[in-house]
Amino acid sequence: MKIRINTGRTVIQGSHVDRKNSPEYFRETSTLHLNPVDMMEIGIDDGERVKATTGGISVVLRVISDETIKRGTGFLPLGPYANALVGGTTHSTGMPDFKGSVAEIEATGEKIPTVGELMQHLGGLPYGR
Amino acid sequence: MVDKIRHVVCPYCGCLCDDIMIEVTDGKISGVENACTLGAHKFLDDAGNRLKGPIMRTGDEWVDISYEEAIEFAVKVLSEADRPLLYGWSGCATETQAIGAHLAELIGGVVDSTTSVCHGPSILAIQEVGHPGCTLGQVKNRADTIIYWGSNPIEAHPRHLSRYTNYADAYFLHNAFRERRVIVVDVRKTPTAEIATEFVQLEQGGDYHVLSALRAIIRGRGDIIPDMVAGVPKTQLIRVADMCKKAKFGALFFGVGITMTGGKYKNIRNAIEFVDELNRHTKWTISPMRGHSNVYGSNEVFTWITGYPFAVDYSKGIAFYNPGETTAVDILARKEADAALIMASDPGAHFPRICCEHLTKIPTILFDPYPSATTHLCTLQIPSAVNGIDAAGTAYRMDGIPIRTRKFIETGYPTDTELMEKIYDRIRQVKENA
Amino acid sequence: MHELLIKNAYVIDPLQGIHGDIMDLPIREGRIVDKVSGSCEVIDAGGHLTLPGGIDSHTHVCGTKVNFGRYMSPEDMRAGRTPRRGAMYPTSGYTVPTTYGNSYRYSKMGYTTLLEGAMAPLEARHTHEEFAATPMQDMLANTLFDGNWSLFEAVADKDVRQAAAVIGWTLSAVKGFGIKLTNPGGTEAWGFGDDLSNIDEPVPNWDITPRDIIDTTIQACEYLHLPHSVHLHCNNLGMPGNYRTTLQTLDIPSDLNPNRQTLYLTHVQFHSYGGSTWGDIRSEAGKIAGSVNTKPQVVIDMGQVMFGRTMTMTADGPMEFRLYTLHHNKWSNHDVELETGSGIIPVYYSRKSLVNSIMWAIGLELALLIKNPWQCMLTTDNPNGAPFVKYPEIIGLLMSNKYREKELGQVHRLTTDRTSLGTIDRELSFEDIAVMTRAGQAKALGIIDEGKGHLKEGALADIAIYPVKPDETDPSLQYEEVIGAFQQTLYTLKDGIVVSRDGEVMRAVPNRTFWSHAELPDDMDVMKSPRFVEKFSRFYSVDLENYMVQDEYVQRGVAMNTRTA
Repeated sequence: MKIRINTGRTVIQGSHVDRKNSPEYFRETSTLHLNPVDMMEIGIDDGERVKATTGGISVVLRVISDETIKRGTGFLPLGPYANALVGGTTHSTGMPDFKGSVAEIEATGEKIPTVGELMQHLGGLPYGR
Repeated sequence: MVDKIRHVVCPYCGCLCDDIMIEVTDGKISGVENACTLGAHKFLDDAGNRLKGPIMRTGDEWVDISYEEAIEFAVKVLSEADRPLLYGWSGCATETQAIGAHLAELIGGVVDSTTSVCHGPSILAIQEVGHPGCTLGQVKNRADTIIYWGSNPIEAHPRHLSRYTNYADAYFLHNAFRERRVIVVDVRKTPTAEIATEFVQLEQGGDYHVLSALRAIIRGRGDIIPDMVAGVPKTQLIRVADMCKKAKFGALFFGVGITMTGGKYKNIRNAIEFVDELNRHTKWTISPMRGHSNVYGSNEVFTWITGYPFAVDYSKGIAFYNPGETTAVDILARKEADAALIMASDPGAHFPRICCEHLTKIPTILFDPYPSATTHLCTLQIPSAVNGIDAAGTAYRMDGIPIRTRKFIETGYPTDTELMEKIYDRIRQVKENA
Repeated sequence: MHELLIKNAYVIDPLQGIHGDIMDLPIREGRIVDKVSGSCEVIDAGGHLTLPGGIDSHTHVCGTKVNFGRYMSPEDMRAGRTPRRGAMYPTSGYTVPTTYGNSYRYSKMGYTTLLEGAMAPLEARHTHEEFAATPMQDMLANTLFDGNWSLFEAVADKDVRQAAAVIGWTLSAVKGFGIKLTNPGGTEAWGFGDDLSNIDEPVPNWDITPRDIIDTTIQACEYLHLPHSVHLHCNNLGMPGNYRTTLQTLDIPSDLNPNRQTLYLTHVQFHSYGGSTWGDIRSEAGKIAGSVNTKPQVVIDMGQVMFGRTMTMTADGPMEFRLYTLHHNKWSNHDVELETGSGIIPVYYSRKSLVNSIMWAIGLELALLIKNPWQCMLTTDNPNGAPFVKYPEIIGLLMSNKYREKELGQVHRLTTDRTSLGTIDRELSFEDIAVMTRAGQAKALGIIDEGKGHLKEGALADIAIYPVKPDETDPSLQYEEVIGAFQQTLYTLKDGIVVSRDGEVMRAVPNRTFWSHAELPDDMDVMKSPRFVEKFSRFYSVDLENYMVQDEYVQRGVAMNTRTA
């Protein structure tokens, strides 16, 4: 199912912005809010995982149902998981399309990478201490 | 030994609340009063979270190195780079930001702040049509009608409503809370929308259309508006326009909901022109909800030194500004930068993936007190004192008011101002000796 | 021990009564001295015109609204770019240059002291940060009080002493120098979108009028013995017929100060309009000058308009909005809580426009019709009338009737019907210009004793040597040479150090910030007044303890101490 993913700040994401390697930040920023009816159609329950794919890039997310979310859309708090789906085009404004990712969502059994692992996939070296 | 330190300035968001009370026990933060959740976490989580010293990526390991070695590495990398990018700046004091601008000039690099991925479009709009604004105290004392457009302050600027708008005391309104009306415009029902007098829910990308419709109604051309504009019924548009015209003082606050979507800076331009139009009938102001505590400071400092508020390219020996070309995301996405200095910000978490990939391919020097997402991407991380906790300096609030942050504990970390000064001086010597 | 001798200087020093003598200027440790040792460095001024360093008593170069003007105008930044030269940073900006741009360009023209025209107390830190980045000039800040609620309360109570307490405290708290009133009462009315149309109209929500504000503030200023008088941007700026407001305002002050004027009216050109509409607008410079000529207690500055593009920026929020409705150009506004306002909009003054041509003529008329040059300072209200780099052209116009006639031939043909410029023969002398660009400014600002504006023994060695020999030059005919000379000094010295040479700015000397510190008795301590303190906890959005400007911002501050009457 194609979902238009909106991103934004949340209190929990913001509260842990100086601890991006914490379990709270990991949980908050990798959790995609979907409309309950959409979730039914995809065939997933609260807390289960999906793979979101756009432009050949995928990221694994946890899903939670949220009645304030309109059908066909999703909300993912601001962070590295959301930005894994955002391209580098800025239409000559300097501002990428942060809130416009349209991703194909399907259920998955894969693990959600930690922030460190996500960065490692991009070429980084996770710092664990 | 317990100390209570008052009038502390919170260095988290653009609200720059300056009434925080910090309790310090034996030289460590033990309590916070008056701060919102975000600010409280900022202060209370600080101690256990700091990087002990500089760390360098060496092969497949992270190695502890000294500050001297770290500075030497930074000097070497930056003085030799062809197209260095100096990015971030929004959490540090203006004193440090000034050095950043001068350093970019010294090494022929690009200096940009988090503005470019936040309210850069707002500045582009201001550069087209100007900015009819005011200080937050004007809103607090006078505004009877407030609009939050594409902004969710309850989660992103939690004390905005109690310090500056809805719940604040007002000189000219006796029963301010009851007399004020709050209009919230957003694509989803946010917690801020829950407390609105009037909630306008529009379709993603529809802000420009709704603004145009409102402008037409204000100009007496409601006849041309269709029954539904971007998911908003015409009846609601007319009601909202009416509320705006009847305001004695209206204040429109907008956030990244409209800088990041649709026409981006054109959305903001439309909002500004909407406010211009309202000023022919009554008093209205418009203000961007700046995210970081000192991102506006970076705009101010870069402007008075270079002439431009962000995205300044010195590679040609003069200050050159061309957002879309000289902005950080574009420079990284085009793989142009051959070295990066990231100061007080976290592109690892907040930039598109292609930019983060490039950061791993070039020497990237990160100044951050705490391990972040960018830590995993960088070559070298240098922790410095935290602005507002163990370093003092100037910050500019979202409305342009400059406030001095306080230093209230001693940790022994060098400040980013000191470190940047050393780096600048040594690079200047390198250039002079060359 | 740094010593320097300037030889063969053609000195005009009006404050010393030196009207053009060839003399030497011995300098030691940054000051003029009686003599120096034989082995010191020597500069041969070659008989060229040597004046004390230029002083600009009203210019907008540093602070919130100036920076607003910069960042909203990247096209202006591109119009005035310069690359790095030696130790001097790149600059940007044509009508609103960056701080280094302003500083270098003023230095090239021989200016060593600048008074920033408007600083809101709440935003003073910003002004001071920019002062530190304007390294070639000593700086002073005019502090805005036109919408100040604590002052308004004192005015309403007719309590001069209370007004003095508020002003004294505020100037010390924010390291301000002088009292600035911009459209007094009007900027507060603009808080709800209104303005005032005459000086006897009450300010909405307050039981006081602009006349009350001006009168009480003048008395409070004299009570505090401040170095500079009240500095006033009159109500009704830019409105046809506003000359009446100006004349009424000029009638307010009596002569309360033996050392200097009691009221300084700024950019009076914008306040000298007759007629009643844009259609029949005319110059009333004659009447304004006539009034000034009978009032030694008043000093004005011109606010000269020059043709071309520029940026208007003032604390006069409602006036800037009016310009927006007229020109539909990009408009910015910034009201400051409990204190004042501001607005910014770019403008273009055109020779084809009768209104603009009249404005251009009025500034010149004022300077030529006011008999005493000590009462009329040369300014453009930079950048409102024109960028300050146009000062030399204004000097040319004032010194040469021939040049004026030539220029009059290039402006709108009806200009001579609506102004009297074509009938004025007077040509100002080098001495008049020296008064209007430094000596008079030092006197009006009250900084003579600080060593500014003259070259007496003990004075600061701020010196400008211009490439012109007055005895060999007829400015009436050779106005182009005169203009060229004032555009670029042979030498500019600050504190006895050569900072600019032949148009090349060479180095900066640590600059000073002059501010006023009125010593007040305990019973005038507003911090003890609940009504004053309560404003911060209830109505300001910043705590009182964070309001005051910390010492870090004024690292080389010079406190000018005064005692109350």
